[in-house]
Amino acid sequence: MSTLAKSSFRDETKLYLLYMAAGIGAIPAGICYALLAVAGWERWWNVLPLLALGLGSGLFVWKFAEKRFNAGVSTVVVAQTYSEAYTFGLREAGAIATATSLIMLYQQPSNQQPSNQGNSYQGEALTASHAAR
Amino acid sequence: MSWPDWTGSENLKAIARHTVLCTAAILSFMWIAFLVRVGLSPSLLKSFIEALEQFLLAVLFLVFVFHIGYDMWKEIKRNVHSSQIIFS
Repeated sequence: MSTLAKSSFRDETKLYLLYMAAGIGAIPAGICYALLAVAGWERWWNVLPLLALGLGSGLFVWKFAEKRFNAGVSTVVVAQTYSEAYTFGLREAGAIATATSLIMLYQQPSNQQPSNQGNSYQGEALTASHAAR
Repeated sequence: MSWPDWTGSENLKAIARHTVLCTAAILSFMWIAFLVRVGLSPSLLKSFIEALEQFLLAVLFLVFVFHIGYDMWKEIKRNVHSSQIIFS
């Protein structure tokens, strides 16, 4: 299965599980409604607050589950990317690039003035300080 | 705001996705409720499970409507914002 198909399947499964989680989150309010219905007290002034409560708890559980899923997916994606980077030798390339830049930095004398002074703020500041003298 | 702001391809895709998966979740709950009802013989518990199932289906439908509305609202906001950027 390709990566795109895997990602799409994961998204669809996630959305399905989120709907299931929202339904499970509404079960407490549903039990209250079922008790009222069995007792014969099923009136709109009872049902509407319970529906609002069920919707609120379902959405709350949806948000909670979405956060958990996103945290899990991001960890997996980072781990996969890191392992792929390791496979293709990008880590080594990054290490070589870092070592080369560090060597270049150490080779440059610390008191050397920048060559392109006219285009930078530092150059303008130096020119201004020379003019003040 | 024009009609394509409401019926963009992203909107239609999101609506189709939510419709299919919410239907799947509703069918799953109906299946679970059916299994529980078959397993329970007393009529009182049967009507209790039926009422619970009805309530859960109604809540799932409301969650579906909420998310469709929320997705469409986000898409419309994005479309209006991008058209403002293009025409300014």
